Amino acid sequence: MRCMNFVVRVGILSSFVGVLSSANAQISQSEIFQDWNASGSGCQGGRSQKSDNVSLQISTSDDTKMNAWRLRFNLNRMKLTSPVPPEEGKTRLEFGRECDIRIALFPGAKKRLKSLSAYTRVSATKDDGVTLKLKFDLTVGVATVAQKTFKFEKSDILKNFNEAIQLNPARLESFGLPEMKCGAPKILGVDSIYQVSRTSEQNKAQIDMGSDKYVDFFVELENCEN
Amino acid sequence: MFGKVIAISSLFCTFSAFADTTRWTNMSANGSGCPAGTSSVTAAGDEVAWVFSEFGYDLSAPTTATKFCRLSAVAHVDRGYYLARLNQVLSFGAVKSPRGSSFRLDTASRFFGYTVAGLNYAAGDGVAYDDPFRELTGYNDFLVYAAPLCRLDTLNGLFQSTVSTTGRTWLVGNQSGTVSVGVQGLNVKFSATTVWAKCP
Repeated sequence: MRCMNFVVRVGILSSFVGVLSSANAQISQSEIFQDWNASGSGCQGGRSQKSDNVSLQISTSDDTKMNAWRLRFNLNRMKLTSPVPPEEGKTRLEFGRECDIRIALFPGAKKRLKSLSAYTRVSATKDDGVTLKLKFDLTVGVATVAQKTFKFEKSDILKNFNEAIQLNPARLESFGLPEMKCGAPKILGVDSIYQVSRTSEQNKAQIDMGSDKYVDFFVELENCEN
Repeated sequence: MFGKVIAISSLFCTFSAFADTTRWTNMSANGSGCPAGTSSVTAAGDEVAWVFSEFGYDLSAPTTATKFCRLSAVAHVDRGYYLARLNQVLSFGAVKSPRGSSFRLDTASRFFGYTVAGLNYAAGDGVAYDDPFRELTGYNDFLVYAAPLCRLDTLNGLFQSTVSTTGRTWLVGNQSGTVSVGVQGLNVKFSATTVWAKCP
């Protein structure tokens, strides 16, 4: 059973290299976050797939409990420009950009996910004649636990729209975390989707991540009994 | 079939004894909808999830197109459990003109050698379709197969699924219909989630 295959370690605590403590065992950061992928037209990379457009920094966000982490995915390719640069070929009237991040979380035998949230940012400018849809999902397994969507109609002219995206299942408008079994591994995810629908090939739109070129996950575990 | 499943479920009543012991190995994706470097797969516990970034196609002249992706993964489970449920989710976007076009998406899956009911969506002619965020979900109960799985010494099951799509456009008057499946630049996603129960 993979979740039981912990290497028990004593001692060295480090924010980035990572040995994490719990009440009864210490397992390494790389055993808790065993795998990750970032996939789509706006990103392509993973733990086993080196990439120049996706990188991950993991840091503990609570040094006293060593139960909480921030996972920062730097995404420098996630943007949509319409019309696309000529070297990218013909652009359809309907097209988009997407980056889906998946993290394989193995909390450990006597741990489970306590809280999860995510942060990113979006900025957009568009002509009239462009319908713009923006969608951000925070997922645990197949369940969407928080979502933020925007739709700007064809007749809207949008200049320098800039919005922080907070995805938090604990918020009223969100769906809440599903029940977590003790020790159960989970796939955590954030999907960021920009989609435009243009009436003519000359319609312009620019969407990107604003000044923040990252998606942050905030993951907290808690002790539990099987 | 579903009535049979419910009846057997009430006999076993083991859904509260889920085992979170799945280990996935040998995960892969191959096909015209997922050429090398355009898909990813992530697995943790009971779930395995694929993402395809080049599954789509765009038709604007009279023609047909098909794309497919064959997925596979091996589930390893502790002895003494059987598969109580398999959930499948397919997420996709598509846009089509009201006339002169049609498309469909299907999944055909097998697990432990058993055929599982697929996910299917068909958008026929005569109706416009514009939804970049569609999701198809389905689940299959395997309680009827508890006995054979519980007799196995080792529980290693091959999960296989073929995700496929066919689109068609034709002339209406002198103008062709249009179809865009897996809207350009957007992902198509497929995930399978297992639920295990203790053998009676």
